[in-house]
Amino acid sequence: MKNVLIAFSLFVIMMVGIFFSVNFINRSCIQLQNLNCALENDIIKENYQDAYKLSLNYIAKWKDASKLISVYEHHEDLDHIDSEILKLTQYIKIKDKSEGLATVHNMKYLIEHIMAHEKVSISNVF
Amino acid sequence: MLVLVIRTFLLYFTIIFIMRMMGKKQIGQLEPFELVIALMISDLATFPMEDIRIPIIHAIIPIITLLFLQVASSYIELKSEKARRMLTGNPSILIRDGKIDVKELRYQRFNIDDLLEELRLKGYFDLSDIQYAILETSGALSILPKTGQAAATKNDLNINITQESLPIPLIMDGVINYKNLKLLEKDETWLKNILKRNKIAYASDLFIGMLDSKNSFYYQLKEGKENKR
Repeated sequence: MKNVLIAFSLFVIMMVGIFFSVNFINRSCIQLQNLNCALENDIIKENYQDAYKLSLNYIAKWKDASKLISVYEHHEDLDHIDSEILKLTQYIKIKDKSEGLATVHNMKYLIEHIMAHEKVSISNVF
Repeated sequence: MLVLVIRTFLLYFTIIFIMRMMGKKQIGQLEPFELVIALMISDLATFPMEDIRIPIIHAIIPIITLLFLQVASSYIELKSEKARRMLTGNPSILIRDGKIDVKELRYQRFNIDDLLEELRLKGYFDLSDIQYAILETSGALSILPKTGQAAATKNDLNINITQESLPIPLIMDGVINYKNLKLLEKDETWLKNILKRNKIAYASDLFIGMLDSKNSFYYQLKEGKENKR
């Protein structure tokens, strides 16, 4: 009976933990997606100075968020974002609009991909 | 590299904890679904152990879920006969009244060689010695031999016997087990008297000292130690 209680409590604690973790991941990803949109706008308007500042801000925010996200997500997914954001700062620095936009777009997809992983959907279940 | 060691430590203790929670059955005694769960858990733990890109939580979440499912199904099995039948099935009688049930043998996909081998492993070489053979849900074969072929018991021979009790270790590797002494409602003085009677100077001289099933003191000295003269 003790084992049943422990197993049941462990499962309930785990489910509550999962609920909070998924919420955290979604919140962090939405914040990052907003930054991605702002970056995209700055690059389209060729406002490279603001875009550069924003990309540095993005790096700081990503470092904070990825520390916790790495507990739940496959590290390979996070490594892709790491490399894309480093590329982006340099594209903005040399004012390369096409590469900059392509990189931001890819980052948007990668962040979306992390959120999609956590969704309870038919494609994820099967 | 050190991370791999830490992850292995973490997963090792997690698995030990989970297996302890699952109960004390051994591989041979596991029901089919319990065996599947044990195999799945071992597989789940292997990948994050060797690949640091996979978060350890990806192993822990399914393992805890499997623990929950296993414990829940065992609990339901305990409470409901219907669930028990659904999850573990029924034992099958392969030999009934000394006759092989060919239909059941075929249904269980158990060929005659398998049956004879199992019987031989149980010490029955002659099919005619068997009254009943039952294939249990765990896959083990239980046998009831014909009454004339069963080994004679003390009751059959009308021998008067007294019930033996459980042997209780009192000294292990030179250390007195006070918990067992208390269980016997005895104290250290009683033990020292026994040691004195057996010409043993110190309890620490013994590798093992125990009250056997006939309530007499059995002991073995440590290497290089001798009885007092």
